Amino acid sequence: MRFFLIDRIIHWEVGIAAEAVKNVALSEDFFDDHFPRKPVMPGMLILEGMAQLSGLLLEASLEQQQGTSAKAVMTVLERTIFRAMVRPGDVLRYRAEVIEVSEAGGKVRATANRGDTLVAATEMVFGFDHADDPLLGEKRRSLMELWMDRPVSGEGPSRLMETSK
Amino acid sequence: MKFRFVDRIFAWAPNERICGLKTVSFEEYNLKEPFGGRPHLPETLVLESFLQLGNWLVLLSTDFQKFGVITRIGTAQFEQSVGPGQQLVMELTVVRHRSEGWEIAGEGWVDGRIAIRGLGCLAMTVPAADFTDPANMRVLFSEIYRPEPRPPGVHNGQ
Repeated sequence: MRFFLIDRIIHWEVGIAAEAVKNVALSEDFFDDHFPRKPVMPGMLILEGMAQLSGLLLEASLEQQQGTSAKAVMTVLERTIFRAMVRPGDVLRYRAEVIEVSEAGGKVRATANRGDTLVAATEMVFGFDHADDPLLGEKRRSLMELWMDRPVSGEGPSRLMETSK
Repeated sequence: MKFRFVDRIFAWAPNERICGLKTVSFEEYNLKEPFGGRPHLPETLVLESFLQLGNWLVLLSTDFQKFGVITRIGTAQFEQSVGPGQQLVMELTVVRHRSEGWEIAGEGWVDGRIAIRGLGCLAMTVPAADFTDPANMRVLFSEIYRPEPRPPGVHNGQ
């Protein structure tokens, strides 16, 4: 397990919203303990998927708005609700909507749905940490290629963010 | 790989409070952060650890008959990260028993500094045997329970 909690990005509007899907497989390791008699995807891993998508969206939004690279770090979760259990075979659809973004950080409203059923909803506040590691930028770009299922050209992840609408 | 995030329980009082810790090891898979940066326990798993400790209190207070399923988190604040070699010491209290479940709040510290604060965490209780083997949980508890009068790192004057 590599702790990637999104499988594919299916919608990408920098500064506005993004959507991703996560397939839930019984072969995933966390099901060993969660739970032995009833496999249920941990709610915190659903939040992690929402946070990964939200962080990427905020980083791209900052880059578009201010021209600077940063790493988004979650600092506050607000008004989080869980409405349904997620079982093996389910497909989750995460949606993140930007509420605000500035040099200091940003706020996102995020939801997870299984079909028409709301599974979880939250508001996430992120701060921005300084990021100028070229290796990190390259790694992110290859991940975005994987998640968007198409090659990405350009000089860095910011190029992808700007052209992938 | 295990999805267990409480390594030790120091103290507990039925229906009232529980104190325990999570140690962070470099060997843990989740430290391989997908987007780079300094290895640390992801914030969501810090919260998972906090909530699993709350679930131990539900289990212990009900003689392993009930299990908590989280339905709401009012606010969770992450003040600092928890990295390899560090320990997250947590104390949770039951704010009230509501018709929908248990409302729990608490804090966690790293090296004596606040790392997580959770408020308005609501857990619905369900039969424990539907989710896990209560006998196995009893055995696990006997292994991780190490009573201490004043656990290290707790600074709220308990």
